[in-house]
Amino acid sequence: MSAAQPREQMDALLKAFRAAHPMEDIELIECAYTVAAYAHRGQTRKSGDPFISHPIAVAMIVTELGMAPDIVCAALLHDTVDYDATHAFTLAQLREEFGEKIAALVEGVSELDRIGHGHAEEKLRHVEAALKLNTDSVSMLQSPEVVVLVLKLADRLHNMRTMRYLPSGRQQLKSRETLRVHAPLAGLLGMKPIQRELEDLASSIIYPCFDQRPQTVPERALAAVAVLLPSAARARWLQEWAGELSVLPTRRARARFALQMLRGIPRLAVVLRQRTPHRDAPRPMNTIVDQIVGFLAIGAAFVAAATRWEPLAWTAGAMALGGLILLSAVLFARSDDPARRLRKLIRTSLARPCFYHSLHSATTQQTGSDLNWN
Amino acid sequence: MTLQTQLVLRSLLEEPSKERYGLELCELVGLPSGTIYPILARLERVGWVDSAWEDPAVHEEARRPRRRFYWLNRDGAERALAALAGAHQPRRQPKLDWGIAQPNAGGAQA
Repeated sequence: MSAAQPREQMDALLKAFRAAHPMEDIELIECAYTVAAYAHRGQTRKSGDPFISHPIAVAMIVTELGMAPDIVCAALLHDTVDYDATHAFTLAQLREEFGEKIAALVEGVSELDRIGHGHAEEKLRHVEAALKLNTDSVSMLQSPEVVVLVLKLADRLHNMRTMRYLPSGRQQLKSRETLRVHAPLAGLLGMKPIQRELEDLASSIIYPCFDQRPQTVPERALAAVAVLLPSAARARWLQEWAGELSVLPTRRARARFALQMLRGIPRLAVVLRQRTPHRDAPRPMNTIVDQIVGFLAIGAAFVAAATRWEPLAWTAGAMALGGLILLSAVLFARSDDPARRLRKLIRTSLARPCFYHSLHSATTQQTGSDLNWN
Repeated sequence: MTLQTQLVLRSLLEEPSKERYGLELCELVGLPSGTIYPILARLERVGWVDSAWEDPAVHEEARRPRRRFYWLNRDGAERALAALAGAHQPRRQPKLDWGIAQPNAGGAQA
């Protein structure tokens, strides 16, 4: 995260901003940067970076969200009225320099910081409740209160990204707060990627041991087949299932849950890897291929979970896994052609036994003649 | 929309504001876990369902790993209602589509 000089970082920000808003004037943003750099001169972060790198990073996050220039300015200025700043400005000074709107945003953000965690959370919950009531009104999403929340979330996101420099007690505290308040709020505001990143960053601090080896046989089996899932999503689902497994009372119930889940993982992998999900009714999938993949997954997982180093078992496991990979390749291919060809293959191999074929044609003939009679 | 998806949507719609976790839904709908999770993932991908981790304070007090909760959002609830209304007609018996040539198909129509 560090290394980049503030000026280089700022140039990257301006470049990103120009790409997003080619027609907008960048003078105000340059001006905000100058003011912020003055306010934070000589101040450093826990990482040793100059403090100004933080407001620039927050402004970058806001720019990537496609926010308007005044909001980017407010992001650059969000800590300048803070008493920690080398030269704290007053709100009146900001208002005079940058106008009412930007000053109000800066005020809103620093107010959230100032009123302490309990109150801030209360306030966030309040806005959250309001948002839940009318999520689809666009005017609500552009209101200053909501923009302040977006700025606060961007601020939190950058703090979480650079959290490893804090003492571990504060890391825990901040991460819990992030999971409890900020991540759900980001989801509510429709910022799914930010919600996910906040969750991942906070989880990796609160549950550092999760990525270690799964303990029980069901967990091992699930972890083995979860290789099919996109790597970014894998930890989330494994953790979710580990939670469900832990509350199931009997060994049998756990085994059943895991077995059923093993059959479902390939389907889940297809869902998660689909490129452009339809907004309308979710579509069913090619069931035959789906079934075969499911059974192969169970086979592969059995072998992977039950064996240590026996060569025979490993060969069997490798064969099952190989088949699984081949079938997944068919499933994940963009066009339907491979799946259709596979289906045709199954169709011809099933149609070959004469008895089935003759039985089938006999029944159709029967009904056919019946129809003729009538 | 598959029958399973309809079942999941119906039980989510029973109490739209209630947040449910995966295992709870499995029991409620009566479908295996391997069916429920892909459906939930798909509903989440298309934006009908939102999900979030449980509050750390709650699950730590209960001394168990955290749960992931799912609920229908406003938009999703409306779309689900519309889709279920559209899917309400009794479905025809699914045909075994192995594509085996039916030699007498023409005769039946004659």
